[in-house]
Amino acid sequence: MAHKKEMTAKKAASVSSAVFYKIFRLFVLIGISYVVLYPILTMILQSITLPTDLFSSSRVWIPDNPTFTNFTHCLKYFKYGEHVWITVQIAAISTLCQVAVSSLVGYGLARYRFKGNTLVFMMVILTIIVPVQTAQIPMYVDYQKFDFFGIGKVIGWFTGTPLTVNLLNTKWVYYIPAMLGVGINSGLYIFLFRQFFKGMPKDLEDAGRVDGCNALQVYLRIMVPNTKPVFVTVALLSAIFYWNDSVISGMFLNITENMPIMLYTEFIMDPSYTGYTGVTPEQFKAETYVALLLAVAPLMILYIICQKFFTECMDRSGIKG
Amino acid sequence: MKKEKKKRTYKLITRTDIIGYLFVLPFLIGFLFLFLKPMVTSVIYSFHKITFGESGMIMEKVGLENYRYALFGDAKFFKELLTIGGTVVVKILVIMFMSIFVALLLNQKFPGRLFFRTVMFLPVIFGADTILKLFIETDAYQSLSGSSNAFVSVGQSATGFLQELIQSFGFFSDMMSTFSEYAKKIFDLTWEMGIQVILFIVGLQAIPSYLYEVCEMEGATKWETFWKITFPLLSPTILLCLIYTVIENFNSSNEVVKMISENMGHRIHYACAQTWLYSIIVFLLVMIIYGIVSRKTVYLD
Repeated sequence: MAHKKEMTAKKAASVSSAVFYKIFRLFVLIGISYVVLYPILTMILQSITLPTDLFSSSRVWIPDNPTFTNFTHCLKYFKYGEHVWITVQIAAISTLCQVAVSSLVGYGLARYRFKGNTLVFMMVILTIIVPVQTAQIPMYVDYQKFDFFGIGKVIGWFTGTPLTVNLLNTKWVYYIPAMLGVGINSGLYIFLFRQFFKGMPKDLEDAGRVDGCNALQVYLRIMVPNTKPVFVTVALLSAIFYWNDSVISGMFLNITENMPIMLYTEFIMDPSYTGYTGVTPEQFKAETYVALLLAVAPLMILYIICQKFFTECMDRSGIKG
Repeated sequence: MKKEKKKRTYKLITRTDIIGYLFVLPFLIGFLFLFLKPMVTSVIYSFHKITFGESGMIMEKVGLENYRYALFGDAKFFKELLTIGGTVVVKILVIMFMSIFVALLLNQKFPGRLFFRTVMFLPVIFGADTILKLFIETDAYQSLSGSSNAFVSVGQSATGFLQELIQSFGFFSDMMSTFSEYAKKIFDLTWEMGIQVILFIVGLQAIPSYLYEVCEMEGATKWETFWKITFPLLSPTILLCLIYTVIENFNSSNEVVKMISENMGHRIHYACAQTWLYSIIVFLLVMIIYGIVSRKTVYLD
């Protein structure tokens, strides 16, 4: 009898602790959501508020008369489609290169204990640590007279004039570093891939080798399919960082027609910009929000597409010990 | 087995070495030409005094003068370095604990999980420099800003609401206000831990589910399962996130980085010297953390 009582008491305790835990979890998640959503909702709601209503005291959250006039007015001079297309190209190609290269490098670092492995790994960390600003001025000089890593110079010994190309204001300022593992956040992705590949059991690869796969085949046919979530994560992050970049473009790609969307938004949404003479501060503010929302909208769509992969398709049935 | 090992050491470069080098080759080329070369140039700059004349850049050799000035002449640089060092450490630890915790929550199955995951991801998307910059500029009208991060300051006013709500209950108002003060500070970090939470979720999902099934069968409690299975197998991700958080906190817009960017415009040589001092300090710090933590890291083998 006493034993039974103890059991019910234990059960009751575990139920109450479970309820407490659920409340606690909800508290944490709602707190986070509040902090994250507040500024974003502010942006969204103010972008559909009439500029004249922006500071009216009757409006707290939902505008009295929601309108899209801010959007239509903004799109008159905000060449959205053009610059989004430029950015899509940059983000897609750079992401593809970056994912391919950083996963290969990460795999090499994780699985091959070649001489100097640690040194290469330290080099990777160094590329993450040194602030990008350091390299900007020397890189500017380099890109202006890009000689294909010295090949152009060698050609110059024979032809008399060194072969150089001006890469400034071309998309190559994004593609070349991405291809060579030194693009935006490349070091981080190499590190990430290395960590995850290291965490994979070696048996599968051994099985592949026994079946006659070479090193590249082992990587392509065994490692890649089994670490899909990591690939999707890196691709998503990479695309976001290329999309949102305004540092590289601000330095090397700053002719108005060639600007990626973020830099373009920054450029257009400048109070001193000529398109803004005669616009009230309220309208300027509302339209800045419109422009920013439009600029990140494709990323939201990308996230929604990737989310399924990213959060749910992580069934690791292929790996057992 | 022993014999084979001995044989291998005689060879200068083995097959494994060659394949390994081939895998990392793209990075090595990139590192050499797109990282090391500009970096060496900037080191050279840091030993000179650079002025822009009519005929372009004029370089004048000054030796270690720039470094000496950064360390002993420029009181602001050294002071900011110390301030950052002090504040960042606590922040990094809180971000780490918080992001592991949130990732664990979001890895569970409960209604609304997809919504909360999306919310957690939004700071990564909305974290673009452009958005933060324009948000600050436009919000100057409302004088909401004042913090370096406009989003955070808006968040602060948001959590102020939470604080009021708690206080309106009346009881334990002192304790509750201290509590909500801390809760507010922790929640404000949400904007800086999006990537960490994502990495942790991916890391958690990389842990094979059969290990948990075994635990359940053996009758281990959730607490034991966490410390015996989740934590050790998550340790590679913890290492990754820790390094990322350290670097992110040192490289994001803090006073030193701002100072360097400003100096890049007119005193390149001094900015380069500052960058190098700063980078060496961060590099040493990261290496120390890596050395300590990587020894405790466990890989599933």
